Amino acid sequence: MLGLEGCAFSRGDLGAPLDASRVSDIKNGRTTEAQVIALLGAPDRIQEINKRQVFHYYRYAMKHGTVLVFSRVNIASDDLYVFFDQNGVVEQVVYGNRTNNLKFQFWPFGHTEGD
Amino acid sequence: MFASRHERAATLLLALVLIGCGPINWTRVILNHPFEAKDLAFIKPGETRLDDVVRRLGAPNDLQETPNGMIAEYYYYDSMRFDVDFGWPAGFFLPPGASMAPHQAEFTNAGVAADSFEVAFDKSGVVQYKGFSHTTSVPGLNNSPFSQVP
Repeated sequence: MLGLEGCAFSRGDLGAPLDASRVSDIKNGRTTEAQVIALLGAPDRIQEINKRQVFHYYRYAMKHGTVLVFSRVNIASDDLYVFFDQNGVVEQVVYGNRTNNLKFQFWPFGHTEGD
Repeated sequence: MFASRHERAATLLLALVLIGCGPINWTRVILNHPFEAKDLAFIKPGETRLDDVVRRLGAPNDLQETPNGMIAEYYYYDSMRFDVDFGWPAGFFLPPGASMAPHQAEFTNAGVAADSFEVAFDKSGVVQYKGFSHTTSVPGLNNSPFSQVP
């Protein structure tokens, strides 16, 4: 038990995970705003870009590790943008998942590339 | 076993640090990963499209409308912090109610790198230009909070 002193691992999430299978159900030129909301829920943010409405869904994940006197917190986000044309039909979907590669780490030194 | 009082004290300190009771802490917080020049070489203004950028770099963290189209922003944040609590040994001698008081004697040193890579697109989704808003590297730590910023 003495060896476990000073060890802590925790994780946190902001927002629900984006279901990749539901994202792939969104089809350019066919899916409507109402259908996107039925699939994914209300967007976290609505923007207007070049007279096109854009739904932005995001999720942040955090993984934290502490061992002895060393701590590290890794944070990453998933982002989904759905662009609609002026008739409210999907024109483009931009999706990226970074949280799948998020790791528990405790060593705070060194470069982040290749983590 | 121990030649001197100093060795005993050093051994006790090392043992306490190794079980996580020490007054020293290194903490690092990282949001996303930095891009390097080789990751971005494929982006050619006037040729590369939004789909290509997303396929290689992932979805941007933010989109901003511009008069000519939009800007995609990718954020990166990296901070490192080092703490030494000089009041920590006093906690062994003070009564329980005063346990917070000695921890005010703390030395903290932190370095932060924040970067934003931006790609501008025209209204048809073709890259106009790209660039970093800052070009900081992974932060180091100064030895003293009183030294000059490099």
